[in-house]
Amino acid sequence: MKNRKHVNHEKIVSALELPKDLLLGMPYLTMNGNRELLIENHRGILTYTGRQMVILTKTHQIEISGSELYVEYYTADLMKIRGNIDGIAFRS
Amino acid sequence: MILNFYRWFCGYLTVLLSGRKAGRFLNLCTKRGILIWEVLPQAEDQYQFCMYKKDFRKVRPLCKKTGTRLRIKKRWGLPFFLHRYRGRVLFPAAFAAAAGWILFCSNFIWKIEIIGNSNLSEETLIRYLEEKNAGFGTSKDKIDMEALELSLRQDFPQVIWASSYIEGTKLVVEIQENLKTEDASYVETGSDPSSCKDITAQKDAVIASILTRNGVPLVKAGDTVEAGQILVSGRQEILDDSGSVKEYFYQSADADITGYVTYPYEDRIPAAATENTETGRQHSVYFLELFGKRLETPKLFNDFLSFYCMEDYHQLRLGDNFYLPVFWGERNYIEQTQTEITYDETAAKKLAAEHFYQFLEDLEENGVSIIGKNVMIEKIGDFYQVSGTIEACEPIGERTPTEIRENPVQEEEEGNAGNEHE
Repeated sequence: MKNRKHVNHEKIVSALELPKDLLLGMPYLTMNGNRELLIENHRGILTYTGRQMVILTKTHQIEISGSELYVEYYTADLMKIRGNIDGIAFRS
Repeated sequence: MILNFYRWFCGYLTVLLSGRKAGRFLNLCTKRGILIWEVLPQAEDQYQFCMYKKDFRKVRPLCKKTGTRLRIKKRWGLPFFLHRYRGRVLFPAAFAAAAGWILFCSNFIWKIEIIGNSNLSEETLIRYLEEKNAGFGTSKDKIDMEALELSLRQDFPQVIWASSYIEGTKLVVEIQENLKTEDASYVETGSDPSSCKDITAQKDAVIASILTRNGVPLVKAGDTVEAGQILVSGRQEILDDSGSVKEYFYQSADADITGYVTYPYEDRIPAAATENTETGRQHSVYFLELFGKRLETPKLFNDFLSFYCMEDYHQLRLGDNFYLPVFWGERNYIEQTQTEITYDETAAKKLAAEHFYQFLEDLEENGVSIIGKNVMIEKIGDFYQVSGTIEACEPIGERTPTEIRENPVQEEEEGNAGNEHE
């Protein structure tokens, strides 16, 4: 039986200084104050109310809490959220 | 802005999505490349969002798959607008006709603006432009700007700089006039003696002062001169040892010469005159002018016995420079009464004084200093005769070409040289 070594992709990508969002499918978050949040590389919406949103990504679930939250636009890999964002939490 | 216009142009819908798997529906939309925006949660498992009209048919299978229900709340954009008013053919036809008319009018000049003219009147220049086929209503393509600028400078000697350009449907002509007369400015002679100038008297005068910078002064202060007499000559005689003229040296005369001049003054004030007084009554008619054709409201009043007209009009324009050949305004008929009035000597003197001081002001504006005046008024028949003289001091020199004479000495030298050869 072959002994396969676990390859740490993140270390390789870091060593080669390559973009992690492209190669590892990590979400890329851009915030303007606490009013706007742009999420790239998402996998869809899991929960969506005016006070809480859970966004699926390849590596995590991103939980956004706040008030008057709404999705300004929504495409296959880009999502812009507006509202009063109080917190962002990452769940595995 | 551009995105909003694109959405409006393509047409979009505000829809209400409801169902237990509404979140899944949204995720499926994005996976199929269907763009959605303004996603607002309404209640539990109910969302409102916007999508393009063309995508609405594509999402029906997704509704079936997720067991959700999609309801249109509002339709936005041009396709829906056109559909709503599809029965009203005249409206888009009129809209298209208006757009076509504006487009057609944009090829012509409908306004002329003259900038920088002082002595040349606007009417003169507009008439000139019309003669040069650059007037009101001319096609923009037919106007050669460079040729127009050149002809303006050539046909009006006082115009030293001209620029013309088109802004919208407005032709702007900018000019600069030479307010100094050509004679007043000193001209360099250079190597060509024919360009040499003398200074001669413009009118009969007594020389008040003379300050010569170039040339040979032929008069002095206190001399009486006649019109056309040379005051400073541009031709200088170079004498030899015997005192005879060896040759002539030409250099344009340059001097400040003032002289005492007498102006005769005459005026007539009629003893009786007609005076017009407005009564305060007036009637108005309104008009609309399109391509030179005028439509007026009917005159629903009798003409006054004596009146004059005042017209106030406006031109239609879109923005600052896009003028169109549409005018509107009102014409006022203002009633006046004519009364015969008779001037007594005091009133006639007052009127004569007004005329006289206006005449003096005009003289002073032209650089003439008034140093004395002697005017009398007397009644002759049915009018008052005002006559007298005004003593003034003013520049009297004007530049005229210098007479060129042959050099006498050169001929002698040539003669001597011929003798030596023999």
